[in-house]
Amino acid sequence: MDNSQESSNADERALLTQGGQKALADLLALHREKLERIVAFRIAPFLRSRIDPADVLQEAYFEISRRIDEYINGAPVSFFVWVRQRTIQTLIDIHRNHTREKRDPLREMSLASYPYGHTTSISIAQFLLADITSPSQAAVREEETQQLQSALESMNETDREVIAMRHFEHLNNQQVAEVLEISPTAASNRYVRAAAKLSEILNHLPSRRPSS
Amino acid sequence: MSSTDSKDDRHPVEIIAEEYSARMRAGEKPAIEEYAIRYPEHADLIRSVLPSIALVERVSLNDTENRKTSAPGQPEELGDYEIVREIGRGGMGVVYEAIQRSLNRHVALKVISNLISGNSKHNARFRREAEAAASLHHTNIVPIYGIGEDHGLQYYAMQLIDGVTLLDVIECLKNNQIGPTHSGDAARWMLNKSPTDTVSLSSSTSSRSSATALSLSLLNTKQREAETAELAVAASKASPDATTPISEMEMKSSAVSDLESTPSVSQQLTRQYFRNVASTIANAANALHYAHHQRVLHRDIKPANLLLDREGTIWITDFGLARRTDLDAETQTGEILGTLRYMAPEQIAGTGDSRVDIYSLGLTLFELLTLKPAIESPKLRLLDPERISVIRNPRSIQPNIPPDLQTITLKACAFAPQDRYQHAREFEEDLRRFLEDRPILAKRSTRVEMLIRWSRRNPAIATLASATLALLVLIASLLGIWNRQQQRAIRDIGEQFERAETNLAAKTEALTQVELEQSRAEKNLNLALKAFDQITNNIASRGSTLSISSDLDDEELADFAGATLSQADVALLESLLEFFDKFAEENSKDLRIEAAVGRQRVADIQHRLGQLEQADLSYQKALVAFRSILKQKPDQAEVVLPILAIHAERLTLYAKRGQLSNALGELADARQLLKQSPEVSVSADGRFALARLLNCIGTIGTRIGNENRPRMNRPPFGKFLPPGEPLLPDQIARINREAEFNAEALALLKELTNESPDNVSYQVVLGRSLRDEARIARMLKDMPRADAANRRSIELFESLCKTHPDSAAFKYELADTLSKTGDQQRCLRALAICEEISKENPQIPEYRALKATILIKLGMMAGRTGKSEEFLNEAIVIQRELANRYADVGAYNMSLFQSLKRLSELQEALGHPDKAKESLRESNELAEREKVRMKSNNKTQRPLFPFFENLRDRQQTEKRTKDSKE
Repeated sequence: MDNSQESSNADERALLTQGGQKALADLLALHREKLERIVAFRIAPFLRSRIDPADVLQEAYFEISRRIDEYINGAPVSFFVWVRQRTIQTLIDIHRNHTREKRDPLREMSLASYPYGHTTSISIAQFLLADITSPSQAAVREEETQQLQSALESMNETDREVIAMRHFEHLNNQQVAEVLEISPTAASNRYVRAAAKLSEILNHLPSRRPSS
Repeated sequence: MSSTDSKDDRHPVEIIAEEYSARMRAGEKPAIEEYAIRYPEHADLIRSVLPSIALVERVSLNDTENRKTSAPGQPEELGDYEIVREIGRGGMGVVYEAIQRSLNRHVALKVISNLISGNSKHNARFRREAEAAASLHHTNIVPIYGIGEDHGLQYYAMQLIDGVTLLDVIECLKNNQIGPTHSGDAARWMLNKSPTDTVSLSSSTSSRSSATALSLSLLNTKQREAETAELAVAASKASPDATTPISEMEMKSSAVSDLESTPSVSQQLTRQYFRNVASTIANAANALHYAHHQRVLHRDIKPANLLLDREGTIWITDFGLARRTDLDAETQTGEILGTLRYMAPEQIAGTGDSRVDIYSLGLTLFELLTLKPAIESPKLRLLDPERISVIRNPRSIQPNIPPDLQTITLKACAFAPQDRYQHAREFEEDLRRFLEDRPILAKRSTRVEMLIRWSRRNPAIATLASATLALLVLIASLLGIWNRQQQRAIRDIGEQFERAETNLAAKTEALTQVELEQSRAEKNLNLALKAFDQITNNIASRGSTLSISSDLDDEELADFAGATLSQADVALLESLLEFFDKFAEENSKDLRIEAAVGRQRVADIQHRLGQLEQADLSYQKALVAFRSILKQKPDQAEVVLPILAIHAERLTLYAKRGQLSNALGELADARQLLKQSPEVSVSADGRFALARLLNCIGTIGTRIGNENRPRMNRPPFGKFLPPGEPLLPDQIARINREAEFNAEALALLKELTNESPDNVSYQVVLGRSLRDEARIARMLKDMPRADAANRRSIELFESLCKTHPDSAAFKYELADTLSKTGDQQRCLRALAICEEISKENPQIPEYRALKATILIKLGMMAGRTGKSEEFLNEAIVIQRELANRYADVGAYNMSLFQSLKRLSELQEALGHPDKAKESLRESNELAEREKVRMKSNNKTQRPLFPFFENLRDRQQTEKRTKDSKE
């Protein structure tokens, strides 16, 4: 991990230690947009129309405030990466609550593999299927989407995650590196490799399906 | 090609893809060829990868747009209810206005958020809660008509109240908006109502739709009475206002305030207003009492859940969060619902009984009286409910509030449930007593206890700068309260203090303008002094391992004493001092000793924080103050002893700065003073003070080396130098001198312990002196003497540990001596002790610090081995944690710095140049960080040692050390 990152982590910690909740609120506000995006992306299809990502974030923030000491005293990841983890965990808990009760068909879905299992492809699939506004848009997008979906599904988990984090969650290279616990260089290479693989798969997919 | 040698080496195509994606997200349509041309060496990869990236981004962006346009919609109907429109949104769900078709009546329909209703636990609770609420029948509780579930949504229907929430009323009053809106009318009603009035809601067009205006114009009291209640309510558009989001409210308010401008409403709050508030809250309390009697808690009382209708009747709504007190299974412990700002502290912790409602209603009362929320930063409460839940004095915000009403408010929202009204009935009763001008039952004196309690439970005031203000306000209000009948003037001071809330300077200014009626002020001052003493003691005792003495007889202990203090503590104390200086000046009572003690405490804290220059200055001030008192009170223990203590502190202070002759000067001054104070000098306290002074100078003398070369510049890993080097003549002279001092100290202490064998303080200092004796003897190569002294010190502390088996402090001292014997077995025992006490007292950093010190010693004993490196690494983990945790304590940073240096040298010696480089780099980084931190403290602070003053010099020293090794 490079030095500037390490010291900025220390800065965040120092800020949180000294600035307390005010600092926490400020830092969270800084990341809000990205986190909302992440929630919207990761939320299960069956909850999508029912739960506002903002509510999930609210819930997550609550947990974050309660556990902030874990961060301050914990492993030296950046604040954002930690917050992202907590947010995803909150989302998993919400999913769990809902599936357990509803006997939803999706309850068979392997919860253990959240958030890095096939959830990525489920996530991608669901927002493609849901809410496509105009039929003309729909045709094009549906096609693209299906292509992408099947391409991503045939990739291995880490590659899929790398693509998802970069393009759906809008994480940067450094953050991806931290999540995967590898060096930025490795993350960068990993990304290029994943992107190349994705291209390869897309090129070898059966030619574009006729839009019906 | 991918290389990993440079530290920030990213794949070029990854960087290109990042830029490409960013441009797409910004709405551009970048050409892939453009990149292929710009980076010909990666053209192939770019051409193959970027189209896929473009696809991913398109899909991703598409989703973003979809999300924007597809917010969960509003249902059209639910069961028997036809949704008319949304009238409000809250944490629990959305409130709609709806028509119940079977009965053709308008109702308020609350639909519970899926997030909350999503699991069976919540659903079961929701049902129970609704059932509980439906069972309540009270004139001040909004009735529930029914509950249901449709489209997977949980909802309940309740009476649509034609009124506004207290939240709106407060907003209106706050914004001077008492014009023609419903809430404005209600606000005006609050301001002016006489018992027979009703709220005449005006029919202005300020409401949101023409339909509203129309329905409003239809409305006047008589018509409404003629029609059925349901229809009238149907016509009313008042309730929408009740749940209008604030932003909209403000827009509305500002639009209307153009039409009508009045002088600030908050200045107009009259006795009548306060009476109206009191009677409104009394009715709410009555409703709560009823509900509590039915074993139903509300748990979310707040202004937004209290509606005021056009009759001026208060309605409690939203018993949606209520639970039956006997059906607790569904409410998990630790689960938090409700609104943070109004929650009782114990509710935040996940517990609480009916008194949480009393607390929340108390906060609502507070807000109505002051037009300001009682708790400014509700989010802060999550982390630290105790500190943030301290409620300001309402009269400090709004001086017109009748004192009794303030007392009632403060009692209702007392921090501890047992200090509140125990039943809503009592709360109501006191409000009625106030309304009838009868004496209230709540006592004011609890406030003093509150202050003291508060000071006790705030071991880390440090983090909040505003605590300074809060404390001043508290003290000022304490004064204001305590003498309400006798002492107008003091109360005025209190109020002036409070008004000048944001400006300390303004406060002292205000103080000078007030005449004090001296004799009567004393009582209050004594109280304030008591509080001051509590606070300073609390702060000062946090600094030292053993609060019985503030001596600094040991290097490591000196370094770490004060770890839990911070700059904020100093600021806090200094501002308190200003306050006391003023009182000392203006009061008949002689407060000079108290003021001087205050100075001394500030200096002590600065000293522990390593702010040597400021500490020096503060000690001087304290010394001047005490010396001037001494002229009138010669040979008085209360003056002489503090002076001796100050000399001791200054002595160590000079020693740390390498000014040995000044240090000796302090001792001379102290001796001189004792000579002039015959009585004190023979007293036990006097002799003890001298013994401590001697002990200080004794242990510091040898440590100084030569002037201007404090510890930091010594070779950092002294033990690696060949042992048994002969001592230089001047070193021997110095050690001999130290031995003399220590011998004198020992003699005094032995005398004292013989006279008072039970005095623990004497024994502790004796034990420390013996420890020093051993160290001195060892330096003089007199091993038998060293062993004897060590044994005695160990025996002494062991027996203290035996008689006080629960005292970690004695164990700490024992471990300290054990670790200094140079015996590996004893060191290991010391390590075990440290592990034990630091596990039991994780909050005391000194214990962990000693553990780290012992690990370093063990490391040194292990010589240049891998084992040694392990020990050092373990020590560094602890030190790193301490340095992170107590970032503004220079000493921890310095220890870490030193250990890293040691580690680096060891690694070098063990033949790991890479690791050595890394450790050195971390230590340099630490130094840099510390430098930045120091700079950012605007005062010219210095750490315990001139840490960074001479980075270059130090590096040269290192080099020399290394050279000399080779």
